Amino acid sequence: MMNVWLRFIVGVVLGATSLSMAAKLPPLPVWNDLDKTRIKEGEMVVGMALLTAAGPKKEDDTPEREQEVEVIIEAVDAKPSLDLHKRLEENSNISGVHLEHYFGKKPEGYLVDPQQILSMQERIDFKYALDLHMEESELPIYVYLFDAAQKVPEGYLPQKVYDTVFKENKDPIVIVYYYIGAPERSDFLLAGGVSDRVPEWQVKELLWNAAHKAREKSDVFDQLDGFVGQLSMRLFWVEEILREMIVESVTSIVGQQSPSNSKTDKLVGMLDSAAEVEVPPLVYWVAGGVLLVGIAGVWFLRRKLYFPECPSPCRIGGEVGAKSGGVLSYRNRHKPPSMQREQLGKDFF
Amino acid sequence: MHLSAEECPHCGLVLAQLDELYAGFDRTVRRPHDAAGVLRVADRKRVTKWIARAERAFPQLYFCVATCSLSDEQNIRSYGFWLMNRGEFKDIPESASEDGCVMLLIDVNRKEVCLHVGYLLDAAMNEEESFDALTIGHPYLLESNFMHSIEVMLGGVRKYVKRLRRKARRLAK
Repeated sequence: MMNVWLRFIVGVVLGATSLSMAAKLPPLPVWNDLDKTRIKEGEMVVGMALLTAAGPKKEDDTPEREQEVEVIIEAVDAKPSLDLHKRLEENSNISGVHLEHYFGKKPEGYLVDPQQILSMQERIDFKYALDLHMEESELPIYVYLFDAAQKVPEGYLPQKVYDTVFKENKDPIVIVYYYIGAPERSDFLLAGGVSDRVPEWQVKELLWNAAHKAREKSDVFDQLDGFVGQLSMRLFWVEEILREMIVESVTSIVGQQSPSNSKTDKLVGMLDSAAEVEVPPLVYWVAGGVLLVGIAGVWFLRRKLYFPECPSPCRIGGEVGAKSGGVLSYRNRHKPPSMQREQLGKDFF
Repeated sequence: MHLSAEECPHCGLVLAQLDELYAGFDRTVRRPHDAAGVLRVADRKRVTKWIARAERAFPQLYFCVATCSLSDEQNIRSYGFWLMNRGEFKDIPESASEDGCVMLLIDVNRKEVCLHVGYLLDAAMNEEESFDALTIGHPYLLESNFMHSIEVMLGGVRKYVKRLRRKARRLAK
């Protein structure tokens, strides 16, 4: 009995709810009379326009679609080229985005060639050469490649690039602007650490030698290879100078800081002073002695020997001479000079 | 030979007899004087150089190397005496004294060698010492290697001339 009542109540509630929701929905579409007639006569099938391609077309469909497809092209500002490695003209100035590519940040490798002047194989070979240099040297070479007649703005010369890009670098480095095919235009900078104490003439000589070595080759890549090879060899001596300067500076600092009153320091100082004072005069004395001996030897060998005047009476009318010495005979093999000597003293006439 | 004598008191030898004895010999004396023809051109040049060096060291002297081929009647001592007094020496240095001759004479026929000197060296000269100066060339002379023997004998002669100078200076005092 309870179940019957419960079912009844639920039915009433659901009926009331559906009625209230139906009152809120929009009205359902209604067939007009013309369509009803055509459906009944079989001229029109319900859903044919949706389910088949041969559905009836409305006359006004085409103009509406054309209006939707219409595109309005408006003028916009020119955007920078996406080609990062676009090569500049041979005699152009490095400018615009290329300045950013060259000098925007500290280079990741030792070769900076954003224009891709070198071919892929050449770049690999050249990087290998630079890596070889770095295995043997503590002085890195950063090579910036430009074309023969290209110009770098004054604001991007090596010194300024070093001040901006490598400012956090404390060790000495070498920056080279190399112009492919024109090694004599190369620009060179040795900067960082105590490198400013390297004589300028030595740096110029180094650059001149490298450019001279490059000019010996005809191929541009060979020129570059020769240039860097020579540079690497010559930098060895620069490194030696830098090491000496570092040692000197460290020694002077230690000398200033440490007191020099210990016995060991005194002994070392005495030896140093003795070496500085005594050795050069000793060398001078030895050299002077050798020179004197040499001069005396030359004089002894080249001296002229004179005979004193000893008047001697003439012999049987001869005006010039002369006295004859003992006669040495070599007729008899078994009669040596010692035996002949015993017979001397006999007058020959 | 006897000093201050116009002729030898023992045998009566005079220079005129030597002129007759060596009448066929060339009186022009080149240095070296290779009358026997045993030296090659290159050898003569070497001897010439040696002579030039020796004459630079002894400005008063002039040196000569002579070769000859004497007969049995002739003698290397008398020939040397005759050649030195009668010979016309070529290219003698201006500084050289006329009696400053030093002549090494080799007789390739009788196989003898002798050293002759002028009056400038006469007083200091000793027969044995001059003989000793030449003995170093004896082995090469036995093999007829004349150039080598001349080279080594000239070395000995040079040393001997230095010794003569020292001796002459002592005698002069």
